[in-house]
Amino acid sequence: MTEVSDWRYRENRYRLLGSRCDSCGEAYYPPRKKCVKCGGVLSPYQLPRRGVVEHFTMVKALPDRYNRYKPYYLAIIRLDDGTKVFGILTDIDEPSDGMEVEATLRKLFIYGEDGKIIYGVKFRPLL
Amino acid sequence: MGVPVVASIGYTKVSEHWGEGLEGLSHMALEMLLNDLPSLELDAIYVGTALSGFYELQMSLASHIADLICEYDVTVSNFEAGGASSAQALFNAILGIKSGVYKAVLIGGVEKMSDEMPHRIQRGMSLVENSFLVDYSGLTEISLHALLAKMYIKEYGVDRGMISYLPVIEHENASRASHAQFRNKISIETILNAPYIADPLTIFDVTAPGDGAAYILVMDESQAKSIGVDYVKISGYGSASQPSHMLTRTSPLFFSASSRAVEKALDMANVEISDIGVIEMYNQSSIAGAVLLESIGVAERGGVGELLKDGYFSISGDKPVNTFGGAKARGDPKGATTMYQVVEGFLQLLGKAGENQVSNVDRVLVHSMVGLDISSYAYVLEV
Amino acid sequence: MRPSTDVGIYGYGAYIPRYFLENSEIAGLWGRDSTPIKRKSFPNYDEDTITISYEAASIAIKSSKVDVSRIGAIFIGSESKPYAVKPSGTVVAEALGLPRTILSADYEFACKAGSEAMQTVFGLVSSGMIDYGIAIGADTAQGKPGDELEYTAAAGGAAYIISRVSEGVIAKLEASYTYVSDTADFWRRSGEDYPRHLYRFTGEPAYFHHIISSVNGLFEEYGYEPKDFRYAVFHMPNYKFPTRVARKLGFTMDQIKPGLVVALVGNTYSGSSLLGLAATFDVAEPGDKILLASFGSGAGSDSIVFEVTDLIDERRMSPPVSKMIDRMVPGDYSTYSIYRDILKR
Repeated sequence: MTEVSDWRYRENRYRLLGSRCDSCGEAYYPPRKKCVKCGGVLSPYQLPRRGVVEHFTMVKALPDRYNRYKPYYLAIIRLDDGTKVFGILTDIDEPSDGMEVEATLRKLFIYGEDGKIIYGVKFRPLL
Repeated sequence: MGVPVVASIGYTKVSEHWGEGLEGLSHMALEMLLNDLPSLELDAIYVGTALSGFYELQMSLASHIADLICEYDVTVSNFEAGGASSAQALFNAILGIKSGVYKAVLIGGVEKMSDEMPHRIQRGMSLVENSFLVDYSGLTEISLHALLAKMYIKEYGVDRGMISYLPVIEHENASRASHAQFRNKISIETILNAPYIADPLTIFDVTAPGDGAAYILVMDESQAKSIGVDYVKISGYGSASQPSHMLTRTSPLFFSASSRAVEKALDMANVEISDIGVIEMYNQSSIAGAVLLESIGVAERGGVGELLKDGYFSISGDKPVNTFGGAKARGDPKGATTMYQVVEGFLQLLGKAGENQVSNVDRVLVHSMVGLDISSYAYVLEV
Repeated sequence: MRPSTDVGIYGYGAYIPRYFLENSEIAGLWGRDSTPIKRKSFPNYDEDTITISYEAASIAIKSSKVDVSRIGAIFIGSESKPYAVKPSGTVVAEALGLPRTILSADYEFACKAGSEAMQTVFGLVSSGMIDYGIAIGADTAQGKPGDELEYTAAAGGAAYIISRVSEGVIAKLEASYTYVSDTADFWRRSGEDYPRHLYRFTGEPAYFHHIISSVNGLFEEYGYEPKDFRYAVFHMPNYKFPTRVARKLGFTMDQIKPGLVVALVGNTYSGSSLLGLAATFDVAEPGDKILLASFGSGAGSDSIVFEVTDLIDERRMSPPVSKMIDRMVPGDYSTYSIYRDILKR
């Protein structure tokens, strides 16, 4: 994405705003237009902010923009409504399958020293 | 209706070709391909490259390849789909030949990865996946495979080491392949004790960047006969997709796109998977290969590890796979990889596979996929 | 100062990052014998004033169950705002799902930017221009390596949701006062990474003069005495200054104890006195009067009097400041250097 296109998705990225099917209730993050399960129409939906880590891995080969920082934990998180999302874990040294986490706002990356700071949801242990 | 056949091949070694760029690599492969051929009329030039725009800032490569060999009265098309870029090119060329519109199509794939820095390599490899997930959720292609591995291990309760018997086989095969990038044999211990790239996968569980170009000439069978070259028939092809976001899939541990694509290709060729003598599949990691083999029905769900360990998929085994090392050991120059797979199938079927020759092989299955089974392409080659 | 319509604190929240650096480790590095405090907090590499403000405000919103659609302002006071030009407030507002129709400029008055934000929101709310406003003091303070202030420059913040008393508040604003002068004891020029200060000049002519003038001014105008207050919270650049100014003004250690978080957290700059206030609200009881006396270099002090109501028990922030301090884990100087961008990659 670019410093402009990031702006387009900021509400989704800041607030875990996805979409949910009007017909069958299946929820998605990031949001999509058509339901995979039943083909129904999707409406904006606020996903729950708490969940449980199902799996995680430490990403050592860092991609562009994230390479300024250290290896991070990427997890599959099952939110309280059953929706599964990918998310970066933060403020945790040794994650474990089944640990409870909560969405919070953190810096994701910057576009260099003079560029924008891009914020988004990461998941941390409960306070 | 035309009958598409592969009539000539040309390819470079997969390596870090410091002295060659996209055109230089293509030139090397094309010289080999055109070597023993009389001049012929090409109808089209289709080129696949995953990352020439992102890494080398050169797009519309097909037009430039046409220019490279001074072929101008042709239809050019560019194909971009990660490691399946040249698979898409092949698919479209087949349609052209079958329909009778084309008599001869030059198809190729080329990739230049070694010019790039590691973090850019990772970004490039992840471009085929959902960009929101990659940019904002921290997803990378390799970490996606790692999470798949975790799911696999938990679901089937198998030992994590089992899936890494696949790269052992791949490296064993590549050790006898002159065009392979990595010709060192590696043991299971080396793989398991190597540094993690995204646990539980180590650096030897995943493909590495490499440069390479591979081109094939696909023509109508009648034309191949009239020239008098050895050829291989493309008797079946198929393609399918599935939801790109792994967590929206009903069964992440089943590659439904690959399964369907292979099913279509086998149906068209009027064969079963048991009739396939060699499988040249596209797996960017050991786990992807494991899940893929289970998804196309050559192993029970959760059971591929035992077969890998027992040598079932070795050259001398019941179902040889990746007979020249596959993406892991032969190398994975993304846009060109499918072409290498077709080249290798061609060599097997015409008895030109040297030390890697599988005996009595009549049919080869060539499989490719975009990212982690977002879309898949499958071909049955036979003599 | 007293607003024409009564206002108060509707809810509060605070946030301290997870890591702390032992003062002894810094002292060991630079060859110093004694240290001003025990340890100070530092943020993770993915935290900054915006994310800290978000957490504090988020906790305040959740603990008070305020209807965010009625919020009309969010002011973040800080000396470490991530952008020199671009409001921090709009990022936090968007992340919290606040309405778009809000005032949201950032505030700067060194360490009293947060209390100035509070005073402004008191005015906006009591005038009826807005129904609810959030005032935040937060910082990821810049400690120059080898400097005096490296031992105390910490990270953290607190958020206060302010409304008219008629909405139901946990603490009423009784009165406030302010005292400022052009006294540059500590400053940071544009473009500079670290602030400068004038050592002992930051004491008597700055910190003590302004706080004492502000509190005495408040006492004289409204007839208060130290014994009227159950608790008092002073700006905490270190442990000595707040304890000394409390004594000079006639307050006891018991009165300032709950708010004195500096020993284990450090000086969170614009967050300092507001964080102390949050820790005090964590233990205060209905009827308690609390004095907040901030100090910002440059220089000035806001003194504010609150009286706690019955609603405090319903809306205490969860987790309390003490639990947030308990969860902190040690980090070494190398980690601190990377996370604070001192060692750039």
